[in-house]
Amino acid sequence: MGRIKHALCVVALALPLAFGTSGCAKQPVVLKPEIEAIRSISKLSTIQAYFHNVAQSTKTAGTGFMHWGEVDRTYWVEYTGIVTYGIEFSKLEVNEENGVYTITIPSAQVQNVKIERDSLTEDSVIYSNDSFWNSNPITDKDQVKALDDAQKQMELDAWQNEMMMHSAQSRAGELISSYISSIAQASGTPYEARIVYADNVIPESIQAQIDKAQSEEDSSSQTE
Amino acid sequence: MEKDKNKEKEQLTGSSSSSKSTRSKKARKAKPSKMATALGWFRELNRTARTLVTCAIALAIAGGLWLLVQGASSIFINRPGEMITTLRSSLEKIENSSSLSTLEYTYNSIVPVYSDEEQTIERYFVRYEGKVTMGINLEDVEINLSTEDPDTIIVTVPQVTIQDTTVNPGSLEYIFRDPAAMTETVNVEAYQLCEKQLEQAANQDESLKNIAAENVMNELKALTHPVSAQLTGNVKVVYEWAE
Repeated sequence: MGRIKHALCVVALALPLAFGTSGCAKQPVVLKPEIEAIRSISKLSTIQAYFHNVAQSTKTAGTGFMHWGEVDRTYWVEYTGIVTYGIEFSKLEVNEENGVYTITIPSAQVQNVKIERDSLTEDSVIYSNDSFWNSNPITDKDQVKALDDAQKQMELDAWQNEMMMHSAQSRAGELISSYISSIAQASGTPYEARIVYADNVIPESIQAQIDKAQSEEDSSSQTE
Repeated sequence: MEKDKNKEKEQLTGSSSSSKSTRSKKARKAKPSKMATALGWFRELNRTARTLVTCAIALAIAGGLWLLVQGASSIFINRPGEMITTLRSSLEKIENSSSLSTLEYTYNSIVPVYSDEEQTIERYFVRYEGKVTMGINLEDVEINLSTEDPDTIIVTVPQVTIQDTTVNPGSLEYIFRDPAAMTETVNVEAYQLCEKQLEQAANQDESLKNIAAENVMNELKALTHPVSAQLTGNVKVVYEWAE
């Protein structure tokens, strides 16, 4: 009797495992984003530049007999990229001497590079046909890489855009001067300001990436 | 007589056989094998030259083998193609901004994508990493003299809000439930969905606003300090949050 009970228990446990929960309605997965890496920053953004971008990618045909018959695929994505320029707010210096305020604006920086969400639709993507003989698919990884490479390139270009960097600095000067003068005026204190702009410096890590991209471009143009 | 004749014969035959062997030796010497002919010049070289020639031949053989392996590998070792991207960019417009960001954090999340409205048939899952920045708009800071106390300057600071949300386009990773969902435009669709989810999540999350607000206050006080230090008499600066 005990054995029968035991066997019944095993069957009762095994049945749901064997047939899954196919009888039940599937519940949608609800996933809550996890917050990570919280850090205090101090950034004043002063300019947002909108660029019309076309990321032109080529997925080359593979090598080896498994890839015979493949063709190079062209993949273009058209979208609007936004570059935010600004300054490190905590590096601002305000000094007073004989009633004259000297405001030193630190080097401008590229604070963020992003894709304007609404500019990226399925219509923004154009791609060439695949080979009849052997498929050379533009996979999800290829698509991610194309967009990521384009954005990285945009960031490097943004750092090298001296006009934007100067504009970001001068706008920061205007904002800070206006803020300080408002307080001085409210208190009835005479206000005279001198704005000094620090030289714009590209961080070493970014400069290294620019140099690397440049050398890669040079070597590819030589190969052509 | 006969013996003498035989001796003479023997001598004659003996001499003839020995002359044969010397001739054959001479013939051997005169007609060396093809190999010996080919390597004849090699033997004539001095030791250093021989070593150099041997090294050159060994290198040539090794190079030949390498080329052979390369040729074979290009056929038998399969490598998929690479994605090479160049960007063509042109400036559309410039907008002024005055956002003071004091807190930044990253979100990691997964967006499930369904093929039906009831959300029962899964197409794919996309994982992403996004960045959120919080702060204020510096231009919205108001500075006024207090109506109650003429010696008090009131700096009214706007409430902290989400300043920006950005999905890192290189962070997207997929798991496909439906292979047909893996199209050439899947990344564009997924990116939009990730952006929407990130924006919603950031706006719903109030937990970090206090830290961002504290940072804003500290930054503004630090900036104003050189001016407030010069204020004469009983004049003081008071900071308060806007409603």
